[in-house]
Amino acid sequence: MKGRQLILTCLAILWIVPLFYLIIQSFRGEPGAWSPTFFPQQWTLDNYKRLFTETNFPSWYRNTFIIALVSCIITTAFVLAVSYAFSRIKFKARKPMMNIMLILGMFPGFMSMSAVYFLLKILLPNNYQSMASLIIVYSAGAALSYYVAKGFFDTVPNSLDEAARIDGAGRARIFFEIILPLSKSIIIYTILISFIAPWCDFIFVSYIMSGVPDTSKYTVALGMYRWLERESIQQYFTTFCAAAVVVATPITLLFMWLQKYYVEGVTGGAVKG
Amino acid sequence: MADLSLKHIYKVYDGEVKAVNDFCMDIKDKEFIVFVGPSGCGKSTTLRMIAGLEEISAGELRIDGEVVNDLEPKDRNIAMVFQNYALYPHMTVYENMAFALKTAKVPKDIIKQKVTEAAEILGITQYLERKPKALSGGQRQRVALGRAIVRNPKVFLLDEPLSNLDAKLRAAMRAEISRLHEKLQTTFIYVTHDQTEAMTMGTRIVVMKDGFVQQIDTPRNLFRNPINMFVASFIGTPQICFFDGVIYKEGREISYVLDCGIRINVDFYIADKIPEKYSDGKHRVAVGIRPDDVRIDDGKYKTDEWEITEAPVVMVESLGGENLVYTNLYGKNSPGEDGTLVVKTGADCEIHKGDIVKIAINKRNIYVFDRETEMNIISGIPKENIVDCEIVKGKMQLGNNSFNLPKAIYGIKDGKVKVRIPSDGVILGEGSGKGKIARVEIIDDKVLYRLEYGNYDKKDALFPLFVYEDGNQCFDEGDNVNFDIDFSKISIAERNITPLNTVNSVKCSIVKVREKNRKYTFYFDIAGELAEIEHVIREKLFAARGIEIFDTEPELIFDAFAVAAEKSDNPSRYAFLAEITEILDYGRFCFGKADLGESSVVFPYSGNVGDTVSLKISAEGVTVKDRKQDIIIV
Repeated sequence: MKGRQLILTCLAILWIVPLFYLIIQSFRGEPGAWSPTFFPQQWTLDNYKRLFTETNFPSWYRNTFIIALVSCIITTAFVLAVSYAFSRIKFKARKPMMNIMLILGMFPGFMSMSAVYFLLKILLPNNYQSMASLIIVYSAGAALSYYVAKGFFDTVPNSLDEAARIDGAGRARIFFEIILPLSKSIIIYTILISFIAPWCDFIFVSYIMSGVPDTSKYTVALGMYRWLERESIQQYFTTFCAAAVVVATPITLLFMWLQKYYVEGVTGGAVKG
Repeated sequence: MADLSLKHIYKVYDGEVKAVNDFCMDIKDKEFIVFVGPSGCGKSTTLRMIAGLEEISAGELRIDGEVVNDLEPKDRNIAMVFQNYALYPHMTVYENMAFALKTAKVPKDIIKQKVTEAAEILGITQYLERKPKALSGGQRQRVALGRAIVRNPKVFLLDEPLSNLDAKLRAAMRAEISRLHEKLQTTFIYVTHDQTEAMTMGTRIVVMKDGFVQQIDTPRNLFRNPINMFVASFIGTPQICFFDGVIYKEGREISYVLDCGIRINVDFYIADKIPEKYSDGKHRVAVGIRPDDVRIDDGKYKTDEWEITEAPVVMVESLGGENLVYTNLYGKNSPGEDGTLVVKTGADCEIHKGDIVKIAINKRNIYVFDRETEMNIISGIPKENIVDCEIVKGKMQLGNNSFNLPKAIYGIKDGKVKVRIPSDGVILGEGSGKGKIARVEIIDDKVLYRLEYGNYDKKDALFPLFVYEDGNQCFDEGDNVNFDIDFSKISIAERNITPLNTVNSVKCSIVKVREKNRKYTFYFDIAGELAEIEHVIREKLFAARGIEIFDTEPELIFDAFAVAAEKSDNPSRYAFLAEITEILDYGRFCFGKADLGESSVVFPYSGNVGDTVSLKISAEGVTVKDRKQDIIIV
């Protein structure tokens, strides 16, 4: 027992140290990327001030927030609707479709990057390097990750649907008035997951927005990455750390607040109708 | 407030597994029907098909005369109560009960009035603002009932509503549901696996097993006239006890001889109901004795009604109010072995394990089953009578009575023969035979007469039966009546006379023909002979099979009396044309025989051989069977 706790403590420290380092570096007064001491010699809030006054960070933050919010709404709607359909409606192509979607979802998303790029060019010929195209990219494939929500809906007794059908409710009414009110946890889980994905994504945004001269159109991930390039790292490292803290804070708070539902959502069967 | 009619209902999964087979039943308004059977027997599936939650694979379901096969559950005007209550957990009791009305856009004040009314009936007024989570099992079930009541449905469907409750609550709710049925005066269909629930609540009970209906009957009849060993053992607690044995016949005396050596003499009016083939002393039978018909003998029981025997006590179970004494007729000493007979006694009965007790078995209530087919061989209504007759010069002598043989079987050799006359082959009240009604039994809506004729001694007793659909009894015990015999139904093995098979079955196919007006007409095609399919049947065919109807191998099955035959060369478009090959004159009825495709069909007709006739089969009297899947589709 003691040995196990020791290992866990070591692992916890290993995980926390980089995070802790990042946070304290964001308060460092000395300039430059490299610091000879773990703790800063001068403590300051200048990095945060600079972040919001001298850089494009506020507009990146706003962009990211809008993209994440819109695609989160679309994704959640898609995922819940598709999962409910797969869980309840028995149609011929149900099994094959579920399998195909599961297999498709196993491929890493970036494999489709170049295809997505050209598709966007066709779809939005004048505006393919925009927020709209990013929203499409993040929400179009949403339904592929139906399985957690479907697993949850499977645990809601079918007799509720049947009772509602006999009471005269149609599919939509059953979905919105009976099933959704019982599925708070899976809705919150889906919202969290679908908000975080675009919020943190770097790969797609870097590819789609590459070569855009107006840096104010960037998202946080792309903009901040630019600060880490060789020519700017010395100047921006501590600002980068501050930005990282600002980016991580809302998600962390959100998670802490909704943790209960998140766990219920993942474990599914914990909630009975 | 509705009649239901289920005709040849099937549920087939993946084209192979038949969960429900040929379910036929007519349910009258205000009946309380209980579907009962072990798990997996198809009772819930049938209920769900009635509700519309499960598609009907084949057959026809009518509610109040309207075919509802393709109607959504909400349009069928039914309400259903589920085993797990299926209350909406996020709504209060009031909202739960109001949901259906809200969906139907009923004004709020009427919703409130109806919900309050229902809540009062069920005594849940004080819980209206609670969520289901805060209610006990019994209260939840009441809410579920309330949700059904407010809709004022034509039919109440209840799917094992009490299985989730504890025993005490179950008994209380049972009474409550019965009371509700009385109050609402609506048709109830109730599914359960609990035979006590079935027996106490149902006006009629449907016993099912492996997707097949075993018996549909009143609780009393199920108990007293079970159709087979399954029904006998399913109904009644403690269970009926079976003993292997044979039936012996000496003269007119018939007795059951159990393998343990016990011999039980049978009353003559029961003995007459035993088909002859069983009384040869070889045919294995299972004799069933219900614990309710056995007593511990204290010397009071008379031997003409009771069979007295001795057996060791293997086990005594005390149920508080009464004791169950397990004895073993084979003399074995451990419980659970062959030969166990359970006896119900009072709680104060001083009997202990190891005692040898005298037991009295009621001879009048003994059940006998064919060991192989497991069917009850003493059915309430015997299917046929076997009588000794003499054929003399074109006449059949039956006791003192003499009947002219009809043309169809005229000319058979004289001599003594055994004649099988089915119970519905004797017509009372007309004809030249003279007899006396010796006994009248009323079995549900049917009346069974025991007719004696000839010298009125037992040796000459004919045991005919008369079935009245409407249950009107026309004769009383002791009445002298005339009777006639329907010769188309009799068989004489020695003279190769078989009953006329009046059920025709013809293989056919379905074709469509494009007419001049570019519309399609559909025909039954029997070996090239076409007859247009009537509108009603066509609709049903397509409803059951859709476009695949052209790939099925249909078989038309129809009774002789469903055919209208007319001498004509020019048939109507719904009729087949055929040539009479034989005329069968049975006196009361005259039949014509003609070839249709590979099979020959019979129908009422009194013309000559060689006539060309048009045969129109009435749409009501025809069934269409799919030979590939062995399913009746219309």
